[in-house]
Amino acid sequence: MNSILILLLLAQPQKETNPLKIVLNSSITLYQKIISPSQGDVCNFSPSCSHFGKQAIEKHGPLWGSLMAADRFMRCNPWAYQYFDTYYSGLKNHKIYDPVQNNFIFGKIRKKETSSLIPYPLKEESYHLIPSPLKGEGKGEGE
Amino acid sequence: MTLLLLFLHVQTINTFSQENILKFADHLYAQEDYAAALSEYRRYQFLFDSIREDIPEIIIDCLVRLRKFDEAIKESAEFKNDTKKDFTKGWIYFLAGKYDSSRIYLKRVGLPYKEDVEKIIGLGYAYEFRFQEAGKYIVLPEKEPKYKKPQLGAMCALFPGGGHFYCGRIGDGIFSFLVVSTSTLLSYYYHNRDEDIKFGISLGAAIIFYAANIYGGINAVHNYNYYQNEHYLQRILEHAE
Repeated sequence: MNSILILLLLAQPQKETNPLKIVLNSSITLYQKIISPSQGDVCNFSPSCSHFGKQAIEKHGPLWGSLMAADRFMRCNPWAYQYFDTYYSGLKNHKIYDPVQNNFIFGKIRKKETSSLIPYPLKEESYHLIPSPLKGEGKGEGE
Repeated sequence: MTLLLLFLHVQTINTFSQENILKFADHLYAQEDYAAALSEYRRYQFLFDSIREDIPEIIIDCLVRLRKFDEAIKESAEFKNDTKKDFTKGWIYFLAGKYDSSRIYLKRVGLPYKEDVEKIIGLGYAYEFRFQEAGKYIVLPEKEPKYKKPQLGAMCALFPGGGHFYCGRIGDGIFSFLVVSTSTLLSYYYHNRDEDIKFGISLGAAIIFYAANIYGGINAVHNYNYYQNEHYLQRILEHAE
């Protein structure tokens, strides 16, 4: 029992005062260092479930963090890839991209980032805010 | 001899003439090396008094492409034409994702850019998922998104996996049900065998998984609604093009 406690403390590199956080973080670290390497890269998500758990506990505390981690654990199943484009933000490194900030239910409502760099005024022939030096060469317009 | 001729020929070319600097800057811009193009345009601006009219605009374009929005805003303050200045600022704030600030400037802009202004304001509202307001400025596609209620998701999640089933995530629902029920059955099994430590651990796991299942039910609804909005936004962007 004592050796487990020592291992838990050794696995905790940062100075943390919350005992619950220490236990949870250390358990995840131990899992990452001892069990995970023998399993290989099996998680369906990016960040992986253990990293997600660590980040969630760090960001939202042990209560909500562990709930989020357990929820993610239950979502990491063989059917997860079915929903990668309908319920998740697509793929990243061939894995389903599902960061912590997409899963905190009490946070601010997420907003979509502006994806189109060049807005429509530049595409219109009637008005060019920024005339492209390449105009007429078939490049530089309407990216 | 050839080398000497080549040397003399190079000497006759004025590499740093106004025209050559501009040509080089345009070439860099064309190659999409915006950081280098920016420094060349700035050099040109610094060295010569009479500059091409569109240079400040191209500099802003480079800054925007490099996502240096604050610098671009500062640069746009140099415009003498107020309408153009406000329009450019509104456009930059829109690209920076600061839609409130964008609207403040764009609403000041007058006639010449009216159509573009309405498009940008409408898209700004759309990016914020405020589709009703967006509809006042741009034409929205039919079939508005249908949302699900988080409260109902939580209610459904009282039955393990119900929240996921409610959102149409059958696989997640089945897996949640299996995890919660297995941990509950395990705790019941150890309770019957009077193995207190194992019972405590499995009961703790069952409680955490059950609570996480309810949390997951609400989270699934939140994400469902978010992606409904996102898909509708995608259709708006396609429609606007």
